[in-house]
Amino acid sequence: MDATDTPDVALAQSGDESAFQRLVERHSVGVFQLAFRLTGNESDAEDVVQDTFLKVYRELKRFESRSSFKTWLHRVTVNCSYDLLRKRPRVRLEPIVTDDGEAGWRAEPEADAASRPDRVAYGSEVHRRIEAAMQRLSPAERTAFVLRHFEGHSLEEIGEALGLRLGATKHSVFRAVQKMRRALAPVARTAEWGS
Amino acid sequence: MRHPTDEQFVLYHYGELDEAEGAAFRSHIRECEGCQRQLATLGRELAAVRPVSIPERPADYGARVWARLQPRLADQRARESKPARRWWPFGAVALRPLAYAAGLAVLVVAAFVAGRYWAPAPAPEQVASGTPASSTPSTEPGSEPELAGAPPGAQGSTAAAAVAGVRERILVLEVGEHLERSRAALLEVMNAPDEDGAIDLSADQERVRDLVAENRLYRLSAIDAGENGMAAVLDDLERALVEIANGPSRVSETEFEHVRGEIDAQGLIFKVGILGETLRQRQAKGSSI
Repeated sequence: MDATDTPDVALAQSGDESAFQRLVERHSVGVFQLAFRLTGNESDAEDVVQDTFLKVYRELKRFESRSSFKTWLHRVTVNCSYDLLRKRPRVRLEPIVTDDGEAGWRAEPEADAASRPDRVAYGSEVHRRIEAAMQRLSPAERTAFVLRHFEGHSLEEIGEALGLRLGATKHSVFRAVQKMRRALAPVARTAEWGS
Repeated sequence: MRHPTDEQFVLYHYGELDEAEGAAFRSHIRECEGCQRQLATLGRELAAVRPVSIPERPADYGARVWARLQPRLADQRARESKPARRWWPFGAVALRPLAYAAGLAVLVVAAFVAGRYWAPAPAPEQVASGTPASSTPSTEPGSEPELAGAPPGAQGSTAAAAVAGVRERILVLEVGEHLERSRAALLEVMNAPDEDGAIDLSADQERVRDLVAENRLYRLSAIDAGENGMAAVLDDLERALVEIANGPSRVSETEFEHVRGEIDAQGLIFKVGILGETLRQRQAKGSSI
């Protein structure tokens, strides 16, 4: 276990709230960053941060220090993000006023959401397409892809975290890559990747 | 070896082929120019998929997270220390009408206490002017003179206020109806009949799953609209709905006590009733203006 966390984990397990506070303050940014990568949305990532630490608080007494606290926290973050992705509707509703003055809701298509200027922090066409493609992945595909491609986890670890068999995990990563490549195909012909 | 499959290309790229497959793949690639090109293309494409830029967090982010978390931990401790108790001690069959009566009572009480708990959101004009209706325009140095006096040229902000007003009315109307449906569903769950020591929730779960999706949309909209009180109740409601939706469809009486206890401990039906009543009042006020 990380030497810095060890005493605080032990104190927190015995009910010392200030020790738990130190753990929260030390790891909040890391949890947020992982949650943001997995959910792709700032407000969802903030929800995941809260859910993660609440879950850790509930389960802390059962934590047996076989792995580091950080590794365990990472795994809880993945679980909470995956849960949230599964609950998250695929479209958001926008309140609107129609031409004849009636009030109503309009479903905002995912592709539109991705290309809205205020949602796009990284301007290039390639990145817009990547973000749109990420939003269209299923929760399992997205989580598996982020953990494999960005976080460098093995398929075995990913399967364990998501409760998937190895074959299903492989297939989730593969499907995510295929969807990503399809989304990038139009720009791939005119651009030199990575240059 | 035949040409590798697309999946094998992807797994090879990530170093995830097992030893034998990996050796066969490498040996094929050495001989096959087409597959070499295919592998190189895959590598270039995946190299372009770089991590998104992550929004910066402030230096005191950990402290902020803790400030938001602490009340929830206190809640958690309170729940843990509270012994599980029966929602109703007299048997499930006799209690269905009682629960509905309790629901009605909630609404009556809510009519009196609503507004004490949730202050209505500022009227659109207030939002636009940035000042409470009763206060005089600010003369503080640095205050916006344009906002204080609503001068000519403020038509843009008037239009924005009108749109904000419409958004608020839609939110109030839609959330009010959603709360009504959710309250009814929770009451149904609380009163689900006990059959031979087990409770079948399958019918309720289907309905609750729809409510979870709706609830999430409304909660996000409430957050966007700055309706923090509304968002907090919807947050509590969502947790309970998710627990019911994702739980087993047939549970023992003991397991079911836990669900009831959770709903009961949070006073959730009461809170949902009060918020619903508050929204109805806001809606009535809005339509009378």
